[in-house]
Amino acid sequence: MKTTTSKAASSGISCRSVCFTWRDSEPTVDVLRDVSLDVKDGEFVSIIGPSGCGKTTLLNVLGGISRPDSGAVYLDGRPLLKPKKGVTAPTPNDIGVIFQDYGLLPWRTVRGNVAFGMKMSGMPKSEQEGAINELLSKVGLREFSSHYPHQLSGGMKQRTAIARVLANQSRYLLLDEPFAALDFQTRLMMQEFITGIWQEFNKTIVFITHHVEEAILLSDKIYLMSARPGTIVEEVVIDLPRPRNVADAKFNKYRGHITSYLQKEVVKSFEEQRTVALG
Amino acid sequence: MKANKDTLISFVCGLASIVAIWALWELTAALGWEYTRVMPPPSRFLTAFADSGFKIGIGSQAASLPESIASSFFRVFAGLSIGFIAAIAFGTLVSLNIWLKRFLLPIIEMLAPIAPIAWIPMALVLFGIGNQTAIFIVFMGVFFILTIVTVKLISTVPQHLIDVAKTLGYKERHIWFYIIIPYIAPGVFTMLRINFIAAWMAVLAAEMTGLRDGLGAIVMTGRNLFDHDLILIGMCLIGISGFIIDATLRFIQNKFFWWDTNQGTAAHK
Repeated sequence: MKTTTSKAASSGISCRSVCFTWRDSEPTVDVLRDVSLDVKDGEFVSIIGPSGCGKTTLLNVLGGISRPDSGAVYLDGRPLLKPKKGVTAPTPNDIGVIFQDYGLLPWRTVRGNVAFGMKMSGMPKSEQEGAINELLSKVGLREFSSHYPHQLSGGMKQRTAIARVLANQSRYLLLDEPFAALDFQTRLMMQEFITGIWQEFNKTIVFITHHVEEAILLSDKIYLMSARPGTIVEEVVIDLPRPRNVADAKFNKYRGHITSYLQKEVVKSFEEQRTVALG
Repeated sequence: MKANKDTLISFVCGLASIVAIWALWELTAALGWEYTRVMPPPSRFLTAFADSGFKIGIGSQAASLPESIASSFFRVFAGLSIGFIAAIAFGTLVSLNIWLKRFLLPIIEMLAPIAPIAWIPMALVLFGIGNQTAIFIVFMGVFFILTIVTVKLISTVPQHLIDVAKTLGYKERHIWFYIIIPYIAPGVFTMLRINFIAAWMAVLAAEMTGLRDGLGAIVMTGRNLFDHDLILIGMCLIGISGFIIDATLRFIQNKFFWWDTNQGTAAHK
């Protein structure tokens, strides 16, 4: 396979010709094929694609949780993981990951979970207490600081998880379908919330979603992925002023474009599955 | 509010049935039924006990009641605590390496089915008659099974929790400490509660085989002296104490190990 030659950007996350294969199953499954993308400092980038296209795998590769079979991820121009040579995890202060199922520790309170994120941040102990309080206020959970995860709603759980990553002072936030399990209204609220966090804390965000409207509403740029093996098919720059209006004509144009693309890919992957099943 | 009411109703019902049995027992004794000669009712064995000045046995061999209760409790809690901590430590150690697991787990699995009571003769030879023997037996009663449970539960810790810790900068050894052990602790503790009964029985059996004090020794002394009052006192105390210890363990679970990470094994109660 030919390697893409463009140089990695000197700031932000760059992903160059990443390939990833699942070897746990027989036959092996090609999940990612030659994925290249760039996330500039301060950008809000979404990745959207049909279910099972490898979005989560891509995010795991970007976050240093999984190692690609070939290709590489660069953070500010330096390789994050050298392919085929032991996992060198990125420094946690650079990249924080937020999962769909929150990943909160059930035996810790909201405060305890946020403190868990701060522990390895290198912040002096004496400052941590105050910093945690401030974060809890920012995410609107100050009054719930001694609640346990099972006593919280989905939106609150996800805000706790976000506060935990903010506590770690990561510059990059990778979010894997963070709002997929939330109801419609909570989802709207959380979209506002994450925009606020992005602007206030000057974060760079990579956002995985299958929700077209959400992606257009939030992102500077959307990468469209193909059905498996996933690869980047198109880069859509969302040129709309914020705050954005979902009823806007231009918004609808983007929505139409992306939705019809997705529809095509979904049909394609469905056809493929049928051929495999029948074949 | 509702929960409180339910608890109260359960408590009252439980108490009522105990009182009813007691009343029936006293009644039949008052009517002179034959069985009450070997099973004297509480009014009789309690007064007999009070008359003896709450002493178990006779002469210099006598042990006081609080002493007997305290030694049984001490033995059980010492054995359970050491077993719980050692099993988590050992199970964690075994899980660190696939080869350790392959070599050591079969041994553990073979030792686990040996009933704690079966360890008594060997313990008596090893430690003689004393606290060590009793503690050792309780320990043997819980250690192997808890080690197996620990190893099993460690393999169920969800990968995403480990990923969370890794992306937050936690190293391997931190992950054991902050994620894996807290994750498995409630399940292991539930198993401890389930196995407590076996350990409890084993301690009593050990006390019957010659320890001077302890609740088991009360029953045995009663038998040796043909003192039915003493036998019944011993039996009642054993029942009440076992109940109290189980309630204590339940309290510890609700207080310290309440989170429900393994629906299958950790009864969240």
